[in-house]
Amino acid sequence: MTPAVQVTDLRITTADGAVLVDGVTFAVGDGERLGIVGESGSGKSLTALAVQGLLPAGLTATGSVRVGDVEVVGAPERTLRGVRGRAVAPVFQEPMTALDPLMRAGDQIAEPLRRHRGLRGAALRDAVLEAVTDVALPEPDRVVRSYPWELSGGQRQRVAIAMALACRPRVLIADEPTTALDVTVQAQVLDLLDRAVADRGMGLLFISHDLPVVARTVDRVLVLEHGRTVEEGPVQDVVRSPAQPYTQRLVGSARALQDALDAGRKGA
Amino acid sequence: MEPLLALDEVSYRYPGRNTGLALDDVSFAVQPGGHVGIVGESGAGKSTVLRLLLGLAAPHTGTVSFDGAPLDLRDRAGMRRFRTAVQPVFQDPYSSLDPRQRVDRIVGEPLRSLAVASGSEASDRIEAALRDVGLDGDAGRRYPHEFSGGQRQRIAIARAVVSGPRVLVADEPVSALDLTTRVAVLELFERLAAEHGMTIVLVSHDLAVVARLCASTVVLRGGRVVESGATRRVLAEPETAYTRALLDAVPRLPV
Repeated sequence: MTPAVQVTDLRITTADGAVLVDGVTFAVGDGERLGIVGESGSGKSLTALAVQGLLPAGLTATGSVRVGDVEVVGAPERTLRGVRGRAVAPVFQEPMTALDPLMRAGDQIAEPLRRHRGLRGAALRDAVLEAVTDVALPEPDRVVRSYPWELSGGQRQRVAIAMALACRPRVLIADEPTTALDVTVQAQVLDLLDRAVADRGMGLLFISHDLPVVARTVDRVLVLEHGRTVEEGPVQDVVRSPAQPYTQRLVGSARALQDALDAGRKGA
Repeated sequence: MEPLLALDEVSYRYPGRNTGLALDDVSFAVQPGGHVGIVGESGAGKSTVLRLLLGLAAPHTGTVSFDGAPLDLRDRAGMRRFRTAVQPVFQDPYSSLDPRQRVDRIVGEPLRSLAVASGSEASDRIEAALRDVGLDGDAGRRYPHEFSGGQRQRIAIARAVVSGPRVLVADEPVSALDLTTRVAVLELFERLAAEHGMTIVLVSHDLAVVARLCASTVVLRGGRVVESGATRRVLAEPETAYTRALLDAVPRLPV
């Protein structure tokens, strides 16, 4: 079977010819969890946007992005609308920007269900409640009636995840989904993502600068630096024995912070 | 030894809100040279503590003291001495620097507003501060957008140290930065503090960042101190289930 997402030699350039992503290749199969790790400017978020055909105006993708049997690069908007939500669905860093502030949470979750699954009336209401219950939101009846600002950051991210899961995409694309959250809430949301993906046999493309978060979430990892893949492999191997200096720096910084936590302040 | 800064049985309630106390009976002291980390999650009261420590608000009950004397926000001369000695560093280097101003003007702002130095003395101090944080000599002639996030935070730190303060109060100063940049900026704080005899108060949701820099830690939750003491002890033998939960929630690299 073809992988859910197959990216081959992806190149993203600006109008004046600067190359932001250069020759990136990877695949995400059903049930596979792939991480893309890199620092600001590494091209990881642009890669995630290119997979959904969502590159900002002025940027051009070349190479190939196949989602199922649809070629996304160069596809017209009409084709892309069929891909987004149903084949690949996003969870972004800041749920407040992903959610419409003037719309109740339940109505926002209902929209993709109506559009992609054609649900109406009581069936739609049931599906919304089920989606909210699925992401372990307490008091689902209250949540569906709430506006985003009436919910906490963690609850908003759960609503955003419920929206993304609503249309049963083959691959969930999560770009720094927990960076804006408190550490205890982050742990809960990561557990939720683990479970959601495993229960549905869904693929996961997980993007973050935070190596420990990536390491606990995915099976394989791609390390990007300035738009190029510098290293890839099973995440355990890459973290335990990073081969490239850039990866070694990433691992070194993460370990330095972790050691501080484990040992308490050095010399104090 | 007289604490540099201290909160003593401080309570604070935001006016017009019936949500209860933002801070409830909070006490801790910052000793010279003893960097303090204030840790907590959303709603813990970190921002309120920060406002009190910076003299931007006065407590409802209890006292905030500086050098052993209660801080009086109406004492203009006293507050000017306080602001020269206690400088803030904010979280987001992308929004805390005025994009329309040259870096030398941004860094020199405390010198002007606190009337610490002017003319060539000011220029010398600005240049020294920029060098101190590891930026090039020509950085002052450029604008914030020409710098990366880590470099911008260095500019913000240069502005904080230019007046020769004794305390830096830093609000999540590395949370918006990549991990490698985070470690580099923490090392910069440590070096500057040692070289200039400054004491750092670091407010953060991130225990690892506090662990890297601070000798003592105050854990806040819901406006109350749930635990405080030597960072090493708090991390190794947390006294409360909440601190333990915070520690356990930090994702770890596989060994």
